[in-house]
Amino acid sequence: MTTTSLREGELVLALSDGVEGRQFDGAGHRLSHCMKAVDWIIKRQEQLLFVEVKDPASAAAQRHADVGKTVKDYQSGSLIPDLVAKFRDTFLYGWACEWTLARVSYFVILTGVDSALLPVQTDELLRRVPVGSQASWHRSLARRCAIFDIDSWNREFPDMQLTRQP
Amino acid sequence: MNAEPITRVRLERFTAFELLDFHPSPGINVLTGVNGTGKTHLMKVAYAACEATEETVRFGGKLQGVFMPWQGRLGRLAKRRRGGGGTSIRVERGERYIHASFSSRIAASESAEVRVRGWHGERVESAYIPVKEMLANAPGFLSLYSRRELHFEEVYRDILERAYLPPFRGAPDADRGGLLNQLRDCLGGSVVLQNDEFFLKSRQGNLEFALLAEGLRKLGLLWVLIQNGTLTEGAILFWDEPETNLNPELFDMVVGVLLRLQRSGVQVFVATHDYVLLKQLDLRATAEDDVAYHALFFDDSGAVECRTVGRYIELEPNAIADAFTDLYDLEVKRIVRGAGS
Repeated sequence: MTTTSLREGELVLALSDGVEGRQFDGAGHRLSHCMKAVDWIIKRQEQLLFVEVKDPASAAAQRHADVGKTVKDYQSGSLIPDLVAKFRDTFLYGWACEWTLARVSYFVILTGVDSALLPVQTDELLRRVPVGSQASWHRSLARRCAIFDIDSWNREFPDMQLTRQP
Repeated sequence: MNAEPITRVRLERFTAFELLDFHPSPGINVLTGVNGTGKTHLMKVAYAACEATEETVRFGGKLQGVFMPWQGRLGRLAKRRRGGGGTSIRVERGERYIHASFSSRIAASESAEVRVRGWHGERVESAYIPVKEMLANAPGFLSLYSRRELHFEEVYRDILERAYLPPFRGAPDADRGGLLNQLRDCLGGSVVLQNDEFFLKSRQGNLEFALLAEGLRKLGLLWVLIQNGTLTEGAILFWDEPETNLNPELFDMVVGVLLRLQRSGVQVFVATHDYVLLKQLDLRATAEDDVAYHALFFDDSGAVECRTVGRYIELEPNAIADAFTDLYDLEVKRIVRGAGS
């Protein structure tokens, strides 16, 4: 499971000692025909981080043949339900695998968007991903849930620096 | 014993409302909604009711004064619809209530039928801060208002009357002292009155309010209302669009003051269109704070409805967030299409 860096398209996450990560989406879970998956699973300070990367600013997104579809995929009405599904299916997968799910956080990296617009999308996500303890629940699903751009990610996680490497 | 907070406002066929049954929290109440959903009207009704706790103030007359219907005709506040029908307004503070009813045909406010229970037993201190700042225009305004027919709603006169109240005697208590210090640090001085004119007194000298940024004048007004005891335990503050002319970097301070006022027993009503203000409140309020978010919106039939939640994240519909999401979607379009590069 241990690796020193993770890549998703042009974005590379360098993991410091003590932080473990794995590529999960794609070949990682082998259930892509029926379940969605986040890009990376990271173990850091007794916490399990589900990390999804959305990179509309990448050259690949901008070269995509169907520009209209690409725009739609990243717009709020499609993006948020997609992010919710990725979290839920990954959590379910982890439950079936008996991962330790007591301290899960769900983080999304979203590039190119004015940072002032991210909090509202975070709120949109928080409306659909139950964070923290809920009435009558004995366990929480996600402890934290947030959307970062590259700068805010690097400020928040000095031990997991994110860079663009085309 | 301190005055009870407002616990309910029920409006039937009044201005934009067909039927509204509004249950505010005793703490901070944030009213959101697109233009025309009646946020200001709701606050003005509640404010007029607070004023009418003074036995000499007629509720109908106060409604007339704060709404200023054409030719002073109170009946114009009735919701327009075929067949007419009566308008009913009821404001409650626990078991106490004031209830006014009138038809769309009446002109004089005296024609409104007003019933009360226990409403005049204790005067409720209240302050309504309107959108437009008034302290810079204060000199001479009150005497002019009393002598001439000025087309200013009474809320403008009333807020100046409160601003002109002399300060409390003696040192402020810890709550008020802390609030005053917080505002003074932000303003860079305190507010003084000389010959009916307000000045900001700082180390550099006295600066007349007319030369002060309008946003800072609002903070100055808040300082005055706290200093002279208008906003103390049991009082009710109505603030229409605090964000107007205020730089968003000051919102954390404004929200901090509102939370402290609430903690010291002031009931607060705020109408806002501003995301930063809402989000500051969402992030700064603790589990002990009593904050209610009220979304006013048009339902499918075009009637105004109100939905109340205890957490910002549950606010729905949220016209402010929708506007930001529209911006986000436009931004994505630009990023992917590369139009901005």
